[in-house]
Amino acid sequence: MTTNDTGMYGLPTRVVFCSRCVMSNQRPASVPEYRHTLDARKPTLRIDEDGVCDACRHAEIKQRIDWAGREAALVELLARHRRQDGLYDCVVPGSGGKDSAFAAHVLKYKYGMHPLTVTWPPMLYTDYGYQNYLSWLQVGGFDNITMRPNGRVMKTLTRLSIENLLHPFQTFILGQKSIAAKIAADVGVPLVFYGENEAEYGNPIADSETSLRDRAFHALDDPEGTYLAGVSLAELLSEHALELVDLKPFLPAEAERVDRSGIEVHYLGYYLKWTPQEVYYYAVENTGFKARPYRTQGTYSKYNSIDDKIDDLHYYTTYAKFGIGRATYDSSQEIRNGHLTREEGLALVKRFDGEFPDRYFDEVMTFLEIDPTAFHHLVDRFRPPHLWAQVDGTWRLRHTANRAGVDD
Amino acid sequence: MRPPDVAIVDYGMGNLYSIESACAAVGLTAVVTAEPEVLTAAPALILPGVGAFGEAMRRLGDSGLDELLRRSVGPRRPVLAICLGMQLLFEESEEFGDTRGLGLLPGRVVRFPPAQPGDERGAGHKVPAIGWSAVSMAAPAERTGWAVSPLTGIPDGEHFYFIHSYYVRPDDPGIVATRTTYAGVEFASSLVYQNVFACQFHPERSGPAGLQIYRNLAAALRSSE
Repeated sequence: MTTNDTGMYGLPTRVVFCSRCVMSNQRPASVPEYRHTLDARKPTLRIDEDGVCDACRHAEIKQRIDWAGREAALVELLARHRRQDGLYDCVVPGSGGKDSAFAAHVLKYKYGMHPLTVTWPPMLYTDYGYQNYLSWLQVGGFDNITMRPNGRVMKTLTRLSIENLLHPFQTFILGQKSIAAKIAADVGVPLVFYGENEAEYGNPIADSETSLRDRAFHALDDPEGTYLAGVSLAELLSEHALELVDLKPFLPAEAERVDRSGIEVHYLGYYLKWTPQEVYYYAVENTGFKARPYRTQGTYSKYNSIDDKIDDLHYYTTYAKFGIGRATYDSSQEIRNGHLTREEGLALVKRFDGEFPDRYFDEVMTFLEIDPTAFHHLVDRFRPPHLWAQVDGTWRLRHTANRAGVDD
Repeated sequence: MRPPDVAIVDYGMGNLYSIESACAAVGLTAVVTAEPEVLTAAPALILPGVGAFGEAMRRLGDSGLDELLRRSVGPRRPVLAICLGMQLLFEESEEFGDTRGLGLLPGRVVRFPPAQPGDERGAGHKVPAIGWSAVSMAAPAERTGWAVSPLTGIPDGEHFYFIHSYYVRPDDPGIVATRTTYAGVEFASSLVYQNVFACQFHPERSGPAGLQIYRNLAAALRSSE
């Protein structure tokens, strides 16, 4: 059947948009980055026979969940782990954004836990991001361990992940997903809480049926077949003058160590209803969180993913690779949560999706020692032919949510 | 448990989250429901609406809520009809061919002229209209809705948030409460009829001015207790 044909990155060649939100079937699911190579085939967002995507179906399920029952299960889980002997009883990873601010704060002040917060910082903090990180700890009131990896290695890996995968955010994601379990094992605190489940955004729905996070994100079973920046570990060690100790911060803990320490990684979003806008208001009131007074380039929003200077570029690359820009991600989420209608989402996508993020671009390129012109050529090589057409020297999408693409 | 102040009519078409939040912000307890008993018993009704006219009428018809609304929208209790909810009160809409509405008010629902691309001076317009527009108060008629007026405390020229491609053209100009101009068309952006306040804009998404309308609803309910 032609609908099952796949193009670059294993994306379906027939582009379909969800009839409720503005997301397309080109959105890949989150899978462990240390398996990511150019040939890797990720599952993509399923849109069912009624034209509704899995993320919207999940939002529907979320309305019917017995949240009181889920909270009771949380209270029971916390009772088993709570300590009064001066030691930490849970670990909450985060950079000081709204989600980690909310998670750490409710656990400590509503449920009487004693969290240790753990941070894998952005490669280049924005001013607002750094202030929010400090406020989280100072206004919110938390102990924190920040693991800052070797800057030269970080830079090398980030440059390679751009060149090989057009994925400037990979080094951040690697650490962000694995750091908490490693530190939890070090300090002997087995209970770890992340915030929202990736299924909210369209991983297979079965992923959201459990509070436990897929251990592949934080436990490494098989060092064979492990890649960073799309390059095998062996090649990194031999070709890039790196040592294993340099790469360890970017890799999950060994599975055996995770199991021996009894690490359990939960999504707090499984137990408590997670609405990004509500979480934002909570963070403003309780941990001194501040949104940026100006919108983020490529979208209309001011309060999410604002702490890393490379983040705007990340969404610019998703626009090139999957035809999905940041306004599509943001407005789809807000449509699902009932804050926007699809018509408004369409208008926002039309206006902001794919806007070039020039605010930090030069600084990021200088930092990574990448020639800006070379970067643009690179982007063009990563545009799948089934998504992009060149019209009079300009790249245009073949299909858009607004049905204004070259082939619509 | 005390019954809710407001029943929000749930026929699967609307931005109910914002409406619930707006009610909560002014101390009104609200329930989203399609239960005929709850809708009949509620001290006030909100008829929301986002989406297509025909689909909305089909859903109301399938659930029998159309008949219930015809009976319960009138002088007895306060009703707030928003956006598509306002349009549904009329006889017919030209959306997707002519579609019959609830027929409580004589008049038609018509579409804005087709979009015109803007030039450097910003002329031209988009459809749907999405954004903030000013409302100007129509000459005050003798009104009885919502005790004094649903627009108490709203200055002439206040801005509200709109998202729509269609607008209502009532046969009776006497029911028009505010007018707004978009795409060169002056249209009825709100109206008061018996105890019904219907608005094309979204008070639940219009900041403090919008909340003032909810506050007026709360005041009307308290004064009738």
